[in-house]
Amino acid sequence: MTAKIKVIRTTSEKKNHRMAVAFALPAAAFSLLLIIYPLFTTIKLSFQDVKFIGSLTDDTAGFTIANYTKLFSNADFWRALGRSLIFTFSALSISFLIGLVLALLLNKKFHCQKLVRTLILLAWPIPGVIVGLLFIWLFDGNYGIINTILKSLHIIDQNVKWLSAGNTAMVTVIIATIWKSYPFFTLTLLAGLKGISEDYYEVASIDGANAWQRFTNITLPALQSVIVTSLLLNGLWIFRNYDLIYTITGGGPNQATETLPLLLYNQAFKYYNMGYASTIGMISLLVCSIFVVLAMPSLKKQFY
Amino acid sequence: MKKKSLSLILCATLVFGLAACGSTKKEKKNDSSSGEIVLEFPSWQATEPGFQEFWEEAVAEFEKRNENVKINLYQVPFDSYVDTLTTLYAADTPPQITHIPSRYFAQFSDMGWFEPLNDRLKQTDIIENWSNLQDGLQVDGKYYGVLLLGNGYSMYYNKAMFDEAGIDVPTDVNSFMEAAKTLTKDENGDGDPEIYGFGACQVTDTNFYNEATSFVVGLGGKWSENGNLTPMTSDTTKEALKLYQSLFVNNYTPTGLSVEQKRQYFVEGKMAMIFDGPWVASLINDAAEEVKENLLVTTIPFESVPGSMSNSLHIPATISDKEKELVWEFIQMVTENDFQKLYMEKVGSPSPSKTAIDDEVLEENPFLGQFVKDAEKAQEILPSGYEKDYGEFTQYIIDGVMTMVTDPYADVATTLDDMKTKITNELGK
Repeated sequence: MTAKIKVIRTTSEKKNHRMAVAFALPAAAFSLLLIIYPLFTTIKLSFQDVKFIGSLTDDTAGFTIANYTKLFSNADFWRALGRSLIFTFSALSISFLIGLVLALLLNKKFHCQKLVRTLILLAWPIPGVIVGLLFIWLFDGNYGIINTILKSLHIIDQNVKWLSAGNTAMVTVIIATIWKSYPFFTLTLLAGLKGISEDYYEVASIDGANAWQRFTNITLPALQSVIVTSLLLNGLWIFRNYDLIYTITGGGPNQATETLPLLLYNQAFKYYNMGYASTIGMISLLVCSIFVVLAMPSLKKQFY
Repeated sequence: MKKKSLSLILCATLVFGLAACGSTKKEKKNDSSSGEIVLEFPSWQATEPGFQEFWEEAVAEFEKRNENVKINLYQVPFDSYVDTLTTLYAADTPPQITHIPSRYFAQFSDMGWFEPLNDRLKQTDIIENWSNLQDGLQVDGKYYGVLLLGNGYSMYYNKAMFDEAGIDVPTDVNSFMEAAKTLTKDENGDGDPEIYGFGACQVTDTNFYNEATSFVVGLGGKWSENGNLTPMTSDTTKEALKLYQSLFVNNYTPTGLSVEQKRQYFVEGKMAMIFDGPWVASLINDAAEEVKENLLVTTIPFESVPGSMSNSLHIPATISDKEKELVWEFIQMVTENDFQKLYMEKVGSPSPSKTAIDDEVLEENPFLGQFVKDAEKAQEILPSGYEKDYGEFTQYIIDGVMTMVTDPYADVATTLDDMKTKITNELGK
């Protein structure tokens, strides 16, 4: 039998509590307005056969699960989901490794360290559309500089048609995404590395630990929470990435780079199937939620 | 006590702040008490060379004629233009002066978003003086907009390359293919030509649809006729697409180019011929002097000239009557002959007004005569009967045709059959 303990609050605590509520109210109102309402509208739309919100000619549509049955029986959707997962995991894992290696290097002291750090982080704030345009020219299969370099190094004999063949187009958008996203890892992991005391490494060295042992037994455990948070944030960004892929390939050729966000965009703004697009949005939200749930134990340790 | 008062003041400030943010644009901008009316005018042309000067002069003149009216002309990039406009309309905050790429007209008008203009047009001579392409802005006998540009596609070519090869500019489909072959040059023999006979774009977007359809329509084919898809699998359409496919199979064109890359490479002298609209003329004007003089324009060497409505102005159905009148006044003003001449002078594209084009204008712009001829003969490339489903229909065409022009080059006849079945199933016609 468990006994209930009555918590007695002092007048000052009650006042503070009221004040906290008062301060939280505007934020709650914002959340309600900017998150809950659109989310509610999207859920509602996903159960309606609506061409477009705001149409002056559409009748009010009733509720139906037709969008969901259509989506789950649509091969294009499953292919786009598969592509999204391949795209996300490839880009995420490689950009994480590059980010980690660079963070470890930048954590050492060397000449022009600040300049190198700035140059490495430069890609991060560049808008996706600009990065897309940059990669279109770099990876142009006819006159692009990447082919010219590969040819001059005798790695290829003939131009690679980067953007007009399915597999190479996917490789191109993954490379562009890695280029755009690894600085985020470098930045966050470097911040994490700065927080590890040198004493741990000195003690480990005295005990005879080699570099690999110091990395796996000190650095990685100390960075665990930063790694999980940055993987989650960057993973969500890459999964929802739209502008970069759209600019480079438009989802083509032959839908080879059409991921879920592009499928959603096409349904919403090209075909004006808002109900169906909302259904894709809900599934995307579900997939993103899985990432968050998987990262939850580590996040709880870090933040709560 | 101090803390409590401070918290209350902060909360009140935030609440008022939020409330202020919540007031609508119309309430803020067109407040009758201040006496000033602001007309929003987003356009993808607001900062485009040529177009920018035209629109800025039009706005300045309108503001001069209407003292208490301001026009807020601002740039929205073309890639996100229709999405932005769609969102503004869906949120019931449409821009008072609505400028759209006309291929989206049917979709917008189907939502009931545009004001019918018949009564207003009756009081003017716009319809009788305007290009026949204006009829494309009609639904059930009612006009919902005024066309600003209707164009035919033309063939731009590099005269120096033809002279060097000793061949004539093509005048029919056979000489076109022969020229594409002759002018493609792989000087180091590595299988990657340095110069291409023809330049086609090959990215999954509407430019790809426009170009592929230029071959289909130019060679006498069609995707549909009043919603009937029989023309899609006709022999003419098949032959046109086989010819288009052969440009890629034989390496007469680069692959994977966006339309911007195609234009850039043409101006740099890396391709001998491209098909494109009048807007390429301004790019040629900016080319290096030694290249510029060799870049000329002529009619596409096919039996028909492909073309389309380009862009148009509209009045939103939900704005106030006062605003509607002002927007109509603005539309009327830009259709005046002086403004249409200014449009041709600044933009270098033909005016839809039959009375604005004269010898003086044609003399000033050497390409304009060709554009006018092509616009007059233009055969519409929009899918007949599928205008309301333009986005979805064109995507099926893009997806299908893309498989024909990418390795391993799908069979044209089989792909067309598949496309027809898919469109019939998905769009229900």
